[in-house]
Amino acid sequence: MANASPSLPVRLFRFFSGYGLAVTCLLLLLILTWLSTLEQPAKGLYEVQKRYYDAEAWFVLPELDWMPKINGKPVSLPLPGAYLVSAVLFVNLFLGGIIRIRKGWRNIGVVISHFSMVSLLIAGFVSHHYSKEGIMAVYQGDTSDFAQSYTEYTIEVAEIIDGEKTRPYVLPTKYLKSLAVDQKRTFELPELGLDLEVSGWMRNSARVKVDKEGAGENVVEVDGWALQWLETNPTEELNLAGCHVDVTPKKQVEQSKRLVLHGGDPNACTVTMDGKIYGLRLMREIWPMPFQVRLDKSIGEYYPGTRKPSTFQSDITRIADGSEQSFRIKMNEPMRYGGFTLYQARWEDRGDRPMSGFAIVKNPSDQWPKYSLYISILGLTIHFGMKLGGFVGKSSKSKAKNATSDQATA
Amino acid sequence: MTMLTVVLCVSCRKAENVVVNERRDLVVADQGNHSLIAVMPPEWRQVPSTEFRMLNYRFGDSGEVFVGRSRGGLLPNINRWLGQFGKPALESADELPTVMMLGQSGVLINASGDFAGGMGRPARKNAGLAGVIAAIGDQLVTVKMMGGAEDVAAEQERLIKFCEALRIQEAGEY
Repeated sequence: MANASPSLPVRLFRFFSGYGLAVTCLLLLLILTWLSTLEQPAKGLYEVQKRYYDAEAWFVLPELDWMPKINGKPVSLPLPGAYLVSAVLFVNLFLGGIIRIRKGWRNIGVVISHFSMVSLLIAGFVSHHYSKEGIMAVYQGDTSDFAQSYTEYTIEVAEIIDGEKTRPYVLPTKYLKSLAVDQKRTFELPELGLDLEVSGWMRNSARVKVDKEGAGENVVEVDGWALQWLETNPTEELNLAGCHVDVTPKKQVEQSKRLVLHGGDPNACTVTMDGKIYGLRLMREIWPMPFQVRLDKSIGEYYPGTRKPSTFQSDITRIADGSEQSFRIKMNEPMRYGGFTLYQARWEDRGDRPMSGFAIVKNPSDQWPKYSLYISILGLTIHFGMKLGGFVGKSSKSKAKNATSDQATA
Repeated sequence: MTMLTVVLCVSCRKAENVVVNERRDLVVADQGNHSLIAVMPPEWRQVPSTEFRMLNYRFGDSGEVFVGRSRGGLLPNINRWLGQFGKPALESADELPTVMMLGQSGVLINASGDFAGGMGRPARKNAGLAGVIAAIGDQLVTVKMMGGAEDVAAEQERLIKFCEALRIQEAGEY
C-alpha cells in the first residue's frame, strides 16, 4: 500500500522550514546587498536604502550601468525586497531551526545559534520601525537641546504672539514626502482653526526671484519668489524640499493665502488670519531632547590639504534633571543616556569656533545585535566544543584500540 | 471628453486629509538665526531673511520692510539712503526726528520721489522711504521701509511702533 501524500499544511510547513528556503533567502540577501552596494555611488545611500530595504519595497528592479538597456532604461529581473526576504528567513529559521529541529542535548548548540539569528532579525525589525536618528550640531561654548533629522522634512505651524513663537504644530513627514509634484493634500489644524493645502511638493528645489509681471501662467509667484524644480541629489541631505501652501481659515471669514515654502529658508513665512499671526516653515524635522548638551571643548584635525576630519573628540557637559555631568565623546566612544546614544559624527573648524556634530540615535534594539552575537558565540562554542570533544574521545578510543590490537599481534 | 477628464484628474490628484494635533516643545533652534525679537504688525507678512536682511517683511502689494546691520557711520548711511532718492546730503543728523530702538536713540529718515534703484531693486517713480538707524555698540542697526510714496507714508506709524518694540533676545529665552 502506497504512503498517502502529506496534507497541504504539512507540505507548507516543510517548505517554510526547509533548508532550500533558508539557502535561497541567504543567497538573495547576499545578492541584494551586493547590488545595492554597487548602486549606492550613483543613487545615494538614502535612495538605495529606500528601494532595497524599506518595508514598502516588496520588489526591487536593480538599475546598474552595465545592465542591458531598452530606450535608456536598464532591463533587469525583479528581485524581492530585502525586508520581505528577511521576513521569510525569520519564519524559516523559527520553524526550521527552533520548532522542527530534532531536539536533544546533541543539538542544543545549533538551536541556540538559530535562536541568535532569529533574535538578530527581530532586532533589525525593531530598529527599522522604531529607531530614530538625528544630528545635534553645537558650536564650542554653546548649549543645544535638540536634534534635527538629516533628511526628513516637515512643515511647522506656530502662532506668533508678541513676536515670540509658541509651541509649533508639526505636519507628519510621511504625508508630505509621499506627495507627488502634481498632488495636493489638506492638513487640518482644528486647534488653530486652519486648513493647509500643500501642493507642488518638490524633493529638491531652489527659491528663485521672479518678476511678478514676467512670471508665466504656470509659475506660482508669491512676493516676488517662486520655486524651481531641481534634479534629486544622490546625497539626500543636500536636497532642499519646496512646496506651495494655501492657508484657509476654517470659518471662511477670510480668503485663503498662499505661501511658497523652501527648505533652505532660515525663518518662517507668516500669514495673518483673523488678526492672529501664524508662522509656517518647511524644515528638517526637529526632535527635542530630554537633556541639554554644552560643548566645552571640541578638538579635531583634518587630513592634510582636505576638509575631511581625520580625528575628533569633544568634551561635553550633559545637563539633565538639574544636574551636570562631564563626558568625553570620541570616535567609537559614544555617550549613552536615557535610551539615547550620542556619537560624534562631524567636526568642523572654520576659524571662529569649532563645531561638533553628534549623531543622536534612539533605538530600542540598540544593544540587541551584541546580545545576539553573544548568544551565537555560546551556541557555536557548545556545538563545536561537543564536536571537538566527540572527535578527541573517538580518536583516543581508536588509538587505545589500535594499541591493544598491536600488543595482541606482537 | 473622457481623455480630458483623465488629464484633469491626473493634474490635480488629491490625497486624503490629515488631521494635525501633534505639537513639539520649543528648543534653542526656535530662537532663530539672529538675536532680535520683533513684534510685527498683523498687516505685514514675514518673508525669508537673506544675507543682508536679518528680518524681512512685506506689506500691501509691493511695500517692504527689512532689518539689517551696517557699518560706516551714521551720517554716511543717512546720506546714502537720501542719495538713492536724489536728495542732497546732510551735514549733520542732529535735525532729524528720533525714535527709540533697542534702548538707543535712532534717527528717522524720510524721503520720497524717484528711487534710482540699488541693492537689487529696480528704479521706481513716486517711491517712498522711511527708515530708522541706531548705533548699537560698534555697528548700526537699520530698519528700512520702501514702497510707493503713499503706502510708505501710511505705514510709517507702524514702522515706528515696530522699531520701538524691537528687542534683543536674552540668553536661554525661547
